[in-house]
Amino acid sequence: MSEININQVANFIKMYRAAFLPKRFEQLKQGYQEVQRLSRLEAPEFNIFRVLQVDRREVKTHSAFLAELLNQHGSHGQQFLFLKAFLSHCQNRFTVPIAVNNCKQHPQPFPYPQLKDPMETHEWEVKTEMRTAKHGQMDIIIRSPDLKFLCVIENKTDAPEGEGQLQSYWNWMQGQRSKYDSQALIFLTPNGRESTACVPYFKFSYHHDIRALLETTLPRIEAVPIRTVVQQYLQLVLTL
Amino acid sequence: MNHQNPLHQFLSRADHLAIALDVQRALTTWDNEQAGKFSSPVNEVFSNPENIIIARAIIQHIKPIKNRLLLEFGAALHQRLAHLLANSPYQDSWHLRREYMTKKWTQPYAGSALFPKLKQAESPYLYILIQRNPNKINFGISRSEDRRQRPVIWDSSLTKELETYLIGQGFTRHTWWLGIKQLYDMNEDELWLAAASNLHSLVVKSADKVWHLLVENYELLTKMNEALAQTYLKQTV
Repeated sequence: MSEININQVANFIKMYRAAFLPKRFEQLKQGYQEVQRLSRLEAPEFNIFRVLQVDRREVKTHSAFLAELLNQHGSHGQQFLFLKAFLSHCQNRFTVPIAVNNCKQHPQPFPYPQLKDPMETHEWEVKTEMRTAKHGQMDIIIRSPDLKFLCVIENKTDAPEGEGQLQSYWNWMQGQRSKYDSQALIFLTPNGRESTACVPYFKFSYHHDIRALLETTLPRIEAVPIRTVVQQYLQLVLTL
Repeated sequence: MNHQNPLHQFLSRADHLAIALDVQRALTTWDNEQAGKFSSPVNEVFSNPENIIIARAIIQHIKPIKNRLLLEFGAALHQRLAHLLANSPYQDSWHLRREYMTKKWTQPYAGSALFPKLKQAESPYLYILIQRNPNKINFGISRSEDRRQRPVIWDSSLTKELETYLIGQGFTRHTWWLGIKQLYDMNEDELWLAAASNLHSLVVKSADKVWHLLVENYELLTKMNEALAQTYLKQTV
């Protein structure tokens, strides 16, 4: 039996591929047209945040969007859905004291508000970019005066942490102790990195915590346009 | 067109890419020649005008798919070589760098190079290079400068010994290269289909070829680079 060399094999494959081109093309065409059809129906690539090129904007996109969701009076119309899920997530996630670098702090679990009545009966306020005279501008503030609860979120998607930033916010929070004795300082970053600050804070991440918050609430969002935008925001969060 | 595009993903599958590449070749020839001159399978496909429209849409994806595959291949190959070097006895005397990209270079992936750690930073040396040009990815042992610039330095008996070995292994000479050999022809399907179907296996196979060149010639390369440094020093004193 004569030996077959590699060139003969390559030529045979080429001839085979050419001979069956009509059949193979027909298969590819059908698959391609089906993917085109699904793309028209679902447009999985479309993301409004990317289209508008606001996907990396820390304050104008991420802080603003998250604060809007957390605000029970937000235009999303879902009332306390996101705020409840957020507080509940924090309560479950931070049951054990957090590690605070090597500082000699006495970290506490997340100060979940002690509710005697339903959450809806209490006054809540969510603010973004709140300026203070001496302590800089805080990204997101959640507070409830009657529950004496205060939560400050420092949001860092791309920018490095400002020197003494968390310390400064913590100092401001101490000045609020008489009005808000349940306090939490959250450092929110894509991967939940540690802060260089020597203050008690909670590490929060887009990839884990914000993702979990959005995934938990998505099935319960009743307004279709809100669900669509939250879905697109979730896609974005995973790419941070 | 990014790789999250569903059509891009669909056509990136090796079996689909193989058909798309055949369609691209057939359509290019069809465009350049008169219809009817072709084998019946090609005529059968393109005698339907709708198929020509779809074929054109499909082949639009090929360039971005190739660019992505090339970037992934280049990055994985570099990583594999870094791993081989880090776990070898040569890690103290050689280092790995990405191939230099000029500002004019707009293509993805330029290559990688294994350099000797030099005692004299300015002295000429031999190194292992993987380099991409518009049509091919080549590899071999390269000079740090054109041989013609200083033939006295480059044309030693040791160089001849290594050159002879490389020619015996199917490498060819070049003014910059002591020996150069094609790793992949980018006009052929082999690289693209292998990268689309099993990138890891392609990278292991490619890295082994390059790594083998260093392992096989390590002692000779070390001697030669030392000799080159000596000759260079004598010439500059």
